Amino acid sequence: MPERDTLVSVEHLKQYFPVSHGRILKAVDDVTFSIARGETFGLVGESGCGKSTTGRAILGIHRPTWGRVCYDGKDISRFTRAEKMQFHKKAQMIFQDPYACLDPRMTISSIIREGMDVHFSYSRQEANDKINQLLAQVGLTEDYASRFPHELSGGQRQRIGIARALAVEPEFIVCDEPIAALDVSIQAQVINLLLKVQQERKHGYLFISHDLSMVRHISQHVGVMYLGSMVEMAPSEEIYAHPLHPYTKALFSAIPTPDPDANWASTRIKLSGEVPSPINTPPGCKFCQRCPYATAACHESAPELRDMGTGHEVACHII
Amino acid sequence: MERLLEVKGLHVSFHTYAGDIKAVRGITFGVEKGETLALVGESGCGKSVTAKALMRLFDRTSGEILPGSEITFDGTDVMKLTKKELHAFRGAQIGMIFQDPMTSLDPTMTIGRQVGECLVIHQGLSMKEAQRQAIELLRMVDIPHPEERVKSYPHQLSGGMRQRVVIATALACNPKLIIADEPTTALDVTIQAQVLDLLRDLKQRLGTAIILVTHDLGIVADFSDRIQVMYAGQIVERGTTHEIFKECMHPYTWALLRSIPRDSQKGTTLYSLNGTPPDLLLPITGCPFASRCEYCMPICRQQLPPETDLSQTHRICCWLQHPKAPKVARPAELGGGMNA
Repeated sequence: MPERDTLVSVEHLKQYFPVSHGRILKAVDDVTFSIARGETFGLVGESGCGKSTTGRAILGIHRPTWGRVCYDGKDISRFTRAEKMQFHKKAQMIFQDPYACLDPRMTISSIIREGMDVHFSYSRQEANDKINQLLAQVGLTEDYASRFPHELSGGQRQRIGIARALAVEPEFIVCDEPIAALDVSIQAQVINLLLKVQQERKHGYLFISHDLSMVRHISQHVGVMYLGSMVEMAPSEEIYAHPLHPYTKALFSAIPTPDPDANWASTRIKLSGEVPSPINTPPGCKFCQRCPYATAACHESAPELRDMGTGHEVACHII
Repeated sequence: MERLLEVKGLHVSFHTYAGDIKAVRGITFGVEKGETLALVGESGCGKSVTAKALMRLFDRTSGEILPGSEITFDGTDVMKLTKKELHAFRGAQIGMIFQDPMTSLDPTMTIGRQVGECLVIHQGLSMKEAQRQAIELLRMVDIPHPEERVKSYPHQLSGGMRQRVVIATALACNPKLIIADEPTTALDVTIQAQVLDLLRDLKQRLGTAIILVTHDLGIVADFSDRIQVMYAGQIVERGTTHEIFKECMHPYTWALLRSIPRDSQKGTTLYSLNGTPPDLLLPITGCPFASRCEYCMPICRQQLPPETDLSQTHRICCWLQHPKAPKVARPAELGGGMNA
């Protein structure tokens, strides 16, 4: 892989949660990847594949069961108090649901201001100027500062979520399905905004989404997760042009094409069954129960990510 | 082709403290036997309200279908049905598939009872006979081991399986029309593809007409025969699937199609519509899309554009179609060109 200015690296991250009767839910199972400064890493997969848990673990919301997350080369679980404070300023999150992530009793200005008060010592005037500047940056006017979240539409709320994340001048933002709850035309507005601030500030993004065409549009690198494991990871051009893993192929071909002549239904790869439960997964490849090419080896040992050249890594025995 | 459903001048209003929200503003359309019609638009454009209105699923206190609206289904005047007749009509003549299978199934009833309930009510079957038929219905929607599944509760099934149960319930009485209100929005892509395959297959086997309500243009391209694009409670453009995707002429349809990311423009600024849809509490003078339209002319703000026929099936509400209006070509990424 070419030299990159690595900002975040995730090494053998495992995130297990205990459930009833002594069983263990393996939400994330041995995931390794890195994100460079100014780069967008797209994490895709179906619900329950552990993509959000990975994002939360990177920000230190969960304590990893195994493995580590390094920010700027330092393990985030070994940060001192002061370093932790700095880390929370540098790394921010944009949440999926713009209705649930804003406190309904706070005005927009106090929502944006809360983080600034913790990390900076602005005077009242400076803070107000900064809030107005942020609102302008996300395409809202100053009048919104005194409003409450319920007065705003979904797209406007998502902009407030972005303004709040930008308020502390972060270097890295985890975008956890930022557009899933929005209409098509509003989605484009939010994506444009994210791209614009990235160009200005060279943010690193972890872009978690199940919208594969948006991920293609915004990301330089893409990782595909299935049941807690990374099954394929490559530069985005490469993975969309030549997906190798059977799951990636099936996932990409399941996206309906907005073209009536494409004859989507007959060309796509059909997957039978559904994603199995992540509780007490059997050994072997996690995809083998649904994989049309599974062999005996797939049921016995779990494949590891192998580099197929040009930074295209895939975890599959048959390739 | 034979007309199955005829809707004329449908108006639906919701009475709130702030005033009347006019969610659907005088729409007229029809559905032929066995065809699939898609209603497409952003949230709040009235597509779900239209779908609900066809079965009169509003109580008096909230939504009201205004007098003067006509809904005729297979010769029956739906607006004139009494409460009792409505009960017999819903479920038996029209089946409904809702967006969220989590909330549209009763958590306290077994799958078998839920699917069979409709048969007991409409066809007067005994509970035992209904259960037997429920197993057949579950088999039809590809649920594995239906004999055991009839005894399980909704929470024991996954999202995709639950949506299959909802489809089985909608199909139980062999309705002539199925209204599918965002049937795959809550599902993952691979499961969405499975459910769409199932619906397509059932449509061919049973010849049921489907009204598909969705915001996802990708699904529509492959699934529907005709498309109606809705905006602020009105149908702004309608046509066959091919006409809407390849020959569309309404600036709003263009905007919808252009905001889908394409391979060629990676990392560049996506086309986006500015502004928000009009407030449905207020009266709309002129074209509802005027304030967001880049081709807006003075007349657009003053008078509602008439519906113009572009072909037998393709109709559009836009002043740009007026003979005196400037000729505007389709944006380049949609293939460019004019129609006439």
